[in-house]
Amino acid sequence: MRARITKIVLFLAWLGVCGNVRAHVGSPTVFFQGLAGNYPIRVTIEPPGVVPGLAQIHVVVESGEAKTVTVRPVRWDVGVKGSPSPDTATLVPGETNLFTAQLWLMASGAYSVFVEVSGPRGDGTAIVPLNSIATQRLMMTKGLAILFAVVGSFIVVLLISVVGAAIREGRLEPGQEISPLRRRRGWYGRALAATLLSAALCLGKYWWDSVDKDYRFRRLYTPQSIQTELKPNAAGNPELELSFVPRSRLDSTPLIPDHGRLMHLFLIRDPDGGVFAHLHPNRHPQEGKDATLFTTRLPELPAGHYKLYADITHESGLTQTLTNDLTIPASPSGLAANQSLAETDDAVSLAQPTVESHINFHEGFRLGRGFPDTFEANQETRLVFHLTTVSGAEAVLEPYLGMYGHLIIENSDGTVFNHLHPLGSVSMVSQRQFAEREKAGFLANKPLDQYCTSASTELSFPYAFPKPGIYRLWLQTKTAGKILTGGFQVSIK
Amino acid sequence: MSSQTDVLPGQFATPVQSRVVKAVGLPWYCYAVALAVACVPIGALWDISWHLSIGRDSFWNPAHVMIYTGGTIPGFVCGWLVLKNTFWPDLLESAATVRVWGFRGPIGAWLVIWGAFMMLFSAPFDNWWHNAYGLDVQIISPPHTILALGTYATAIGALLLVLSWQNRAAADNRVAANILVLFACGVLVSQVTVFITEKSYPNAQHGEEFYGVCCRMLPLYLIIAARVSQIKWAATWVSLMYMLVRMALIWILPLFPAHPKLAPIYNPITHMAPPPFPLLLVVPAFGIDLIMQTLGRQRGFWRDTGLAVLLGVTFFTLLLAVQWPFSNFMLSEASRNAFFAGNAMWGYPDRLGDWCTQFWESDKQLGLRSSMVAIAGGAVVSRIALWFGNWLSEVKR
Repeated sequence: MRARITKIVLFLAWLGVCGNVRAHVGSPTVFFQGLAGNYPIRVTIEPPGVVPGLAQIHVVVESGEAKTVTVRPVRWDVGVKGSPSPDTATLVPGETNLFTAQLWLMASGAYSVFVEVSGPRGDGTAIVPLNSIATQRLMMTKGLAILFAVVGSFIVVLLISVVGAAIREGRLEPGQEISPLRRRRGWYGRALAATLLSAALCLGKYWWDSVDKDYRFRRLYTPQSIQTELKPNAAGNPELELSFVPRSRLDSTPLIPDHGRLMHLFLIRDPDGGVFAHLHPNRHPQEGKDATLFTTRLPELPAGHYKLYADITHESGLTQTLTNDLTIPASPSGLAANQSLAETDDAVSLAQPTVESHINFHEGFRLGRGFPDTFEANQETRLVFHLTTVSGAEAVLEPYLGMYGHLIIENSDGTVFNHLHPLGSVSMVSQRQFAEREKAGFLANKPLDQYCTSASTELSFPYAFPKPGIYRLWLQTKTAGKILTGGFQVSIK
Repeated sequence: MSSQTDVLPGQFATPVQSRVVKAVGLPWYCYAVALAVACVPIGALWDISWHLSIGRDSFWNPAHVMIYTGGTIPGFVCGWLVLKNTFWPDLLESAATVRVWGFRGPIGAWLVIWGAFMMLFSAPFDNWWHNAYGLDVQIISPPHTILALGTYATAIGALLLVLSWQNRAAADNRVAANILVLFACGVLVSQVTVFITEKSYPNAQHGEEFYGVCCRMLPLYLIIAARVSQIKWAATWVSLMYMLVRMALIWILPLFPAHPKLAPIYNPITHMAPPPFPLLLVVPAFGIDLIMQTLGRQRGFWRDTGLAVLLGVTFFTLLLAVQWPFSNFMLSEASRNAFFAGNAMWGYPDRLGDWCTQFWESDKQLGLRSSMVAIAGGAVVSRIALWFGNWLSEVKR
């Protein structure tokens, strides 16, 4: 079955759906694992590259005999009331628990797919939020371009010939000979038709270009940039100011906290990934509640060039990753470095991501990866990690930002960035927003339910690497009151 | 050359008339092509209603099939006609054809074939367009324009096909062709009105754009009908056909239950949405007929030019006189019944509100300057219509 899903994902990738960005960067596929009532399910949603467009949905019911699986697209501002009746997902031939369906996403913004499973264990619903955003710029293939050019030329030449024939012979009585004058007029007609058609084609090209330009600059989603400024705070320590101008056409709803924080900021040293920081800037105290100016005390980080990713979530459920680059000088503005992290849940790792199968922390813990260091691109997999003590005893996981594990994935050129949880790539606060709007808060996954942890110390994250390259994975978890950040490196072919 | 009295019914006043030919009626393919092209505007209105009511569709939904039937049937019929006239020519029929790339067929058949190719070409282009820019973000897009041009060409081809027969048939053997000429003109007017649907909602009928668009688009086929038809009050009949087809759809479509299949649903409708009530085109069309019958019998460059100005002014004035007050009525409570279907054309993606019963773009209301621009546009189009109509009325092949 996994092979089947892999084929589907590969097929979708082949279709070119894997575009630029979702809430995360360069990794648009939505992964979810959770409960629909009494049924553990895994859901993969491939959002369309353009809007309106078709989303491909695959649902695996991991246990319990599901009789029917239905899916329904729900837009944030109309809810279930403004949604069509659910579509029944079809069982993939030869499979017993893999269902597939397609759904149209007609407008940009925050959507969710309500997955309803029915069977002997009763009925259950899971909410899978996703962003409906145009992320793909489809280029015409050479073969198709040649085909269109050939057929188009045929049509143009045919019309010119028909116009010439109509002028030459159209008004002649049946059987009447064509005079030389009429033949000449036929050629004049062809010349006129060719001129007019050329002008029409030029106008058509101009029109097409203007549509394309409008799409690229107005409708195509590109990662929004966040402005940065390093400057001293009142105490004279370096402070990082971050600001952005919301794209009101995309989403004008206020920001809401995810895992208790309005912004999750990741700084990753470029190009080696040897420094990783997960910080939580707060809204500037002097700004209003809807302000988009954030600040955080910058911890002591080695000088260098950093990639910056800031995850935010809107009240609608739309999630975004804002991006920019940041250069940290050897001594920022000549200021004394901050000796401590600004927030208790901030974390910094100064270790180079490893290709080894495990990491030993000096706190006495060992983090092992349960997957190979090479993968095929677009192959759906579960990234499994084990945390133990160095001696092999089980470590007791503690909640960190409301979850037992956070996995941050970045490829070496910064074109892919994703922030996963055991629940998948969905935002839990988005899920909760959708559930509460339906007055069905019980449908939202609990922060620490069975998919956010495990009886053992195993943490599992569903994912498919969207394209070949070198990827770094930082797993963040907490045990014995300490936040542990372990970095791995894998190669995707 | 033989005199007209030598011509038997159904024969041609041509160099081949001396041959012994039997009297023939309007050939079957003229009926087939003319009737088939009527599928296009009806299918298009059905398709619009489908998109507003159900939303979700495929290439093979019934409305699409109807539209493409309006292109493929005439295309195949005319393709057959060309092959027949090229490889198995009938002396009488093949004499009334033109030659293109060594093949022979009536001009109308060639245009129908060209239109069918355009329609077929638009399908994969539109599919690529949806994948590149999203599904029908705009109704008026390059592939839709290619489709529309294909449908126009097919309908004009059908008109040419029957017109050439009408123009060369004996007087007592052309009644069917006379009717089909009007029918084809009615199809063309219906097609144009579908294309300008977004610009001609009752809410837009106090705006300058509505009058500008109508004056540029609508007089063309009404005047052509009046010039080429051998039936009196041709433009009036054509406009009546357009209105009756539109009204029939207004009354029939809402009889069918429909539920939106796409989100977001802002307007939870339960039945197919009807199109807006037709323009009262019969009034300006009557004006056109009146002028054409009194001043348009004789032809000439300057005479036609003066006539075009008069037609432009008349069309604008009469359209304004009827649509301005009628749009007030259509936005009022009085129109909300099964006959007029006022305020009923909104689809599931429309957020209903006061805007539905208000005039739009109050800052672009019709004024003196925009009236002059609309009249000028109408006059230019009328002049083109007269020129094209003159040519059409002499087409014999």
